[in-house]
Amino acid sequence: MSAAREVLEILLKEGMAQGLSLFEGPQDPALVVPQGRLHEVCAHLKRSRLLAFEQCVLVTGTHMVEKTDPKGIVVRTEGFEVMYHLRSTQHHRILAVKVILPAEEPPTVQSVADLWRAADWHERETYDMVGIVFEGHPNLHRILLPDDWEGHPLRKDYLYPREYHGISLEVDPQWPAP
Amino acid sequence: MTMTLASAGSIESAVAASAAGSGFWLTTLLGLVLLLGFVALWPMFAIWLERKVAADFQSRMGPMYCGGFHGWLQSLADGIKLAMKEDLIPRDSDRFLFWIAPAVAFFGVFAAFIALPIAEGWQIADVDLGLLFILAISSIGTLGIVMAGWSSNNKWSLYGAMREAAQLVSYEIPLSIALLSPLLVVGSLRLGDIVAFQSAADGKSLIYWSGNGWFALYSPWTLLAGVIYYISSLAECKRAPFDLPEAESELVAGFHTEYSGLRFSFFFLEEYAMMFIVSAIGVLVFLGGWQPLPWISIDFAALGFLGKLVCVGVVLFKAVFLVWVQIWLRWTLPRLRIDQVMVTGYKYLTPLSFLALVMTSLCVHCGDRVIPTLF
Amino acid sequence: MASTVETDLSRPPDTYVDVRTQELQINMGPQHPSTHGVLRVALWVDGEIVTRAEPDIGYLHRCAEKIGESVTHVQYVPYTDRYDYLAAMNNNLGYCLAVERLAELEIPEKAQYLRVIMSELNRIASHLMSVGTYGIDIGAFTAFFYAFREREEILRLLEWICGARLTYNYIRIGGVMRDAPQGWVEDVQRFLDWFEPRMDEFNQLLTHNHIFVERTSNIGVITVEQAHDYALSGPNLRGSGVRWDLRRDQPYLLYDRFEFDIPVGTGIKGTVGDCWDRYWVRILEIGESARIVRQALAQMPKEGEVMAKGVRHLAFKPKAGEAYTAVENPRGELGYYLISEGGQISYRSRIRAPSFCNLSILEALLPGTMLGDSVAIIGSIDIVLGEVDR
Repeated sequence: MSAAREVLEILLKEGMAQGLSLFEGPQDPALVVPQGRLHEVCAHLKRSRLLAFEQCVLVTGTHMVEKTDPKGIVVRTEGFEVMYHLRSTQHHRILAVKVILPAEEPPTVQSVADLWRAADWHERETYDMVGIVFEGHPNLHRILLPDDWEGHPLRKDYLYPREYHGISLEVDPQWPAP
Repeated sequence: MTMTLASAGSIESAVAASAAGSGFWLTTLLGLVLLLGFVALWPMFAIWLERKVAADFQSRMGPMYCGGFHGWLQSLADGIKLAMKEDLIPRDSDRFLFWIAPAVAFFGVFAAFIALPIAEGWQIADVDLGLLFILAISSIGTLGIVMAGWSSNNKWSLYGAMREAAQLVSYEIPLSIALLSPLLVVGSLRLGDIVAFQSAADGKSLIYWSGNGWFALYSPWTLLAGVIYYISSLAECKRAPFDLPEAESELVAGFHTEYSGLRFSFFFLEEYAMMFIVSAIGVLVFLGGWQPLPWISIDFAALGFLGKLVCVGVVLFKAVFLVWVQIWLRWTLPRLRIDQVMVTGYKYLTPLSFLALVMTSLCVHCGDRVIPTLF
Repeated sequence: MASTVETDLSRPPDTYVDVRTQELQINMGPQHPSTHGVLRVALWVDGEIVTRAEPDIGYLHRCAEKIGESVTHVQYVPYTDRYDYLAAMNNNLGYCLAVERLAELEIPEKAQYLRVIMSELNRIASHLMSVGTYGIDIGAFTAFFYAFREREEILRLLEWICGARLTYNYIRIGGVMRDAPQGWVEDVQRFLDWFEPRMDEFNQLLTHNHIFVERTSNIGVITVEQAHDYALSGPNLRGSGVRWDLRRDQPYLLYDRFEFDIPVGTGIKGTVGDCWDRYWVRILEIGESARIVRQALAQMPKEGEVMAKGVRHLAFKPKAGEAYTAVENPRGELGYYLISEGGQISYRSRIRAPSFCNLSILEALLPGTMLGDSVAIIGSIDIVLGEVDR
């Protein structure tokens, strides 16, 4: 279970909680951090003795597409979300940090690769798959896909290229389109 | 100590004494034909032996099918398969060197067999410098291997070739120095003389007591020399734990990565022939040659042709035993890294071989066998 | 007159010639016997010493996360087998736990015991594979066969219960596929009794062999700070001395009912955190997993349901929410981050593969080592490319 509530209280005590909020969520609560304060907050999360999040376990990027329910209320706004999962082995906590990005092109967020080396490859993968640009990343190139691939596959509006270097990638018309 | 016996059983001297030309050429030709047959058949047997012994260590069966009894024709089937493969030469390789490398590697080892006696007087060429000749000629094989690695136009093969060159050249030193210890005692480089020393006595009877015994049991210093010789010979054959040049898990196949088909089989022939050569030298110099037992010697000259056949059988048996020990070590021990190989060769084996040499020479000088009584 | 030329001792003599011309750029992989899959490590070498290393992955990328957004939860379970194909049960388990957490399902007790037994048996099989192939990387061929002989027995047991040897699809959402057949439990007991003395034999052959120790100790030392920085987990983290195991520190299933130790590396043969320590942690973990299986077999109820009630497999819908669930894979922390909107197909299914993080440490570990050592280091990290690339 994410320890977002606890962490937010500690951050309030340590005076770092400006602009932060809590995403209650049915399952894991997450600490929502505004885009401009991400690096600062993460540095504090790593260095504070009460928090001591030494490991950046996962960086996830998701493309959010606008969705309205049958009554016309917007349930999901257009944009991108970047989730960071941090772990503290000292205090036995895991924390989910969420950054909500508006729908601009390209979506940018500060990189935390200098704080945790593990985030280096995860951010590269997020860039590769979702197209989120991490400012300050030492080596932001595609990692899983070939360097000359076009498009970011995990976007919801991604269309497969029809051919790649002469290899045909025709999609079976029976299969539902992504 | 008695010096060398007259090589009364040597075919060469008998023929030379008769001053007839055709007899010499005939026996040499016969020897070469037999040698060719042996060098073609021995790797077949050795590969089968290796596969069965390896399987036994790894709790599996090995070849069982081909030819019926425990797959004894498996090597032949593999040889036929290799001969039928496509002859691939990498496009940017150095064609001449690529073509000639297996031949040079194989020649170095094949030529060493010429001076190798398998019974008293039964060698193709009775070279007075027998041991030196064999060591020198088998070093030509190194050249072939470096050529193979270089000409393949493959960085990994180059690595294998460079490691091979460093390793083989480095281990020549303890190998040769270790062989010097028994040589000092005997006083002759001729292999027949060395074997004769180990069974020397004034006995006139068929079975007699030889005070000398095998060099492995003669004195602790020659035993040390024998052990150093055996370990260095492992490095010369590129067998584990010194199998860096063909380290399968690092360099795919090392210097012979780009070789396929018959060319590849030449390298295999070279490896197994080299294993036999170093084992045979070990048998002749340290394990008494064609005498079955350490101190109880049999006068084979009196037994005629049948006796010579028994000699051949004894030498082959002991050599195959040493090859079996090589196979045992290969499948048990991990591989040493190149700097560890160099350290073992230069920092441990070479000084120890020098120690054995110095102690042996002091012993020879003082007439004692174990502890030189200088004072 | 005295000479006025002074000798400058700081300058090398004029006979000193630097024979190095340029660095060799060499590719280790993607086809290479020791990279444990299709991995390419671009090495810049100066003689035998590596000066720079860059792992290049993506050769086995199979669009796992995109597929997760295209098929239903129940249909996705067989896909999870294929990521870390050497520990497929643990992959299944991680995904099913993640989905069950979203759906707030209660799993019957017998199913939980079976899940524990399967995970631990698979852990033993995976570690055997890892130490066996590590032996081959170092050059000891026989150790590989010994390890695989035991692994064959485990695969036979797993085939008996679920029909497959490598990719099981046994742990399903809501429980397990089917109950253990008659005689299976006794056979597992027999296997454990036969197997535990074999590890001593294996240790004698490989672990304490002087050449093996020389090749692996003091090589590839990972400090605790480095380990946390690169988010290492599993035996790699424990080899550096950090006693962190998700089965103990964030218990899932029934692990709080069992007694087992967490082995850590203590640097007995060299430095703490070297390759030998990681290897030794894996060997000890095999023993611990055998202990857990024994206890689970003893505690498991004879009768019981193996599938939760009310799981509509053809139209399974968890509740909306997002959750990150982590389990202890043989290679480290395997996590699934699922965003569900209450439908049959999840909105985002992200896999946190332990080998992905473990592999990134190569760019820090390899420079300064020799070429033979890089093989030893890659082998000690124990990666599976299926989950690195997904």
